[in-house]
Amino acid sequence: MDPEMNIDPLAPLRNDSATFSLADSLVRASDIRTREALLRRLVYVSLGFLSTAILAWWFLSNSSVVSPMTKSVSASVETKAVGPIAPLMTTPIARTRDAHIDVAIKKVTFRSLLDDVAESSPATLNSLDVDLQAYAEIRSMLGTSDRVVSVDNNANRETCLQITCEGGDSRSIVCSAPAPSPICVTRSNGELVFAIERSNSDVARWPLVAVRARIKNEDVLLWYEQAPALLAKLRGSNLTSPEVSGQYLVLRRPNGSIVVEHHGARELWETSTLYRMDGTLATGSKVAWHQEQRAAVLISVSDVLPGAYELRSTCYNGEAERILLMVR
Amino acid sequence: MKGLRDDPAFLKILEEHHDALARFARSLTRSSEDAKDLVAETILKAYESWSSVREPAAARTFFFRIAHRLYIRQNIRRKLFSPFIADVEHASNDPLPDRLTDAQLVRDALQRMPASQRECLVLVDVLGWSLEDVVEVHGGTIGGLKAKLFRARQELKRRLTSGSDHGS
Repeated sequence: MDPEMNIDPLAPLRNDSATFSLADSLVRASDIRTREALLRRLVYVSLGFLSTAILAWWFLSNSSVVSPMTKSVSASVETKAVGPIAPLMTTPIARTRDAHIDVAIKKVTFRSLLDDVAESSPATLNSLDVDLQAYAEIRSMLGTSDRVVSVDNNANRETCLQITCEGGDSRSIVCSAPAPSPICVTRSNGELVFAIERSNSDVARWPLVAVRARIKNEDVLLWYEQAPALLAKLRGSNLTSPEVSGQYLVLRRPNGSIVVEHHGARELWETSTLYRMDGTLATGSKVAWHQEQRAAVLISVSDVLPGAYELRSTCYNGEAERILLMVR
Repeated sequence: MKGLRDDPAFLKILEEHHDALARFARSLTRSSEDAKDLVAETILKAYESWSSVREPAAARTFFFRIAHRLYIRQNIRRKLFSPFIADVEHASNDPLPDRLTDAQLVRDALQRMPASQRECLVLVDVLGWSLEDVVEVHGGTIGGLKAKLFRARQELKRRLTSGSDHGS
């Protein structure tokens, strides 16, 4: 090492002449400037290309929609043009812009079937020989396996309501002159209080008419068959059958489901939901249906309890229909 | 570099300070190529804002302040990308091998010192600047600069006398 460095270690640097001249620095500065300009130009071009590509992609993906029909037509035309005798012509692909389509949604509103049940006057109940006290007694003493049977005693020309136990024992609760007997007594929401069977095993064939009554501070509905005998008794009253497209008295299957074959559907169903008589949703029950065009609809409802229900269905054309289901 | 070459006033001032600028850059950087880049960039930056210099006497501080800032920027860049930059040292024009060795030893020792200490030491002890001029370029106070110089000299001495630092 230089002895001078032992005294001043920085002397080599101080005496060191510049390793490059001003001309070298100017040339290098010129190179740097050229390189930077080139780099800047490259960046601008890249950004321009990128932004153009993004704009093109956005335009193609958002503003042009080729309908499936147009696609198929274009494909077929292009396929034909591939042939050897096809003229050299390009087939422009028709593009349609997104068109705003006004869709008028028809709001379907349903009134509860209970609203259609007219108030029954005491005179009406008297004309029907409704013994509400007897009904209250039946309700209080009816067991889970017991049945209520209406027995026509032609010899004595009277009709009796009997409770028949599971073992076969029966007991008459009330007897009256022959009069129409309801087939069901339900609460106002449709829940079955008890059903009244016919001794001759007849099933209801007529449209049902609901009559409002009150048993021990509880509103109930007495469901009658709209038979000529009933119409004769109801003459002068405004009690009519609910306006439904179908009424069905259905017996439950052992698994708690019902199957109904409905005829007279107007259109293809889109939705179908089960409601109680007061318009509340029958939760727990699921409705499935099978419909072929406008023919009969096979309806299946699972986990349904005995009572009166309203099946509301909407159709694809916006129409709606409702069906009264009396489940026993 | 047409515009720069066509500005005789700027070239004249630059010529006065180029040698000091080159030695400053060479003392700070690891290789002569880095030093050339630093000087070239300094010239470009200086020419861009040459119109802001009203007093030719302030040109020296103006050049070195730019070189100082560029060097700090280079240092940050080197720290970020150091694994990818080959530390290539080009041959010096110094004709004497022992002088080359001495200068290289000192440069190696300087490179291992903190950048701020290295700059102060080069400006004061190599280029012979006054403390006031260094403060003008580097910022801070005279007292702080003196303390920094003291620590820098001690550090350089330690590194030059410590055998373990050589060749590491």
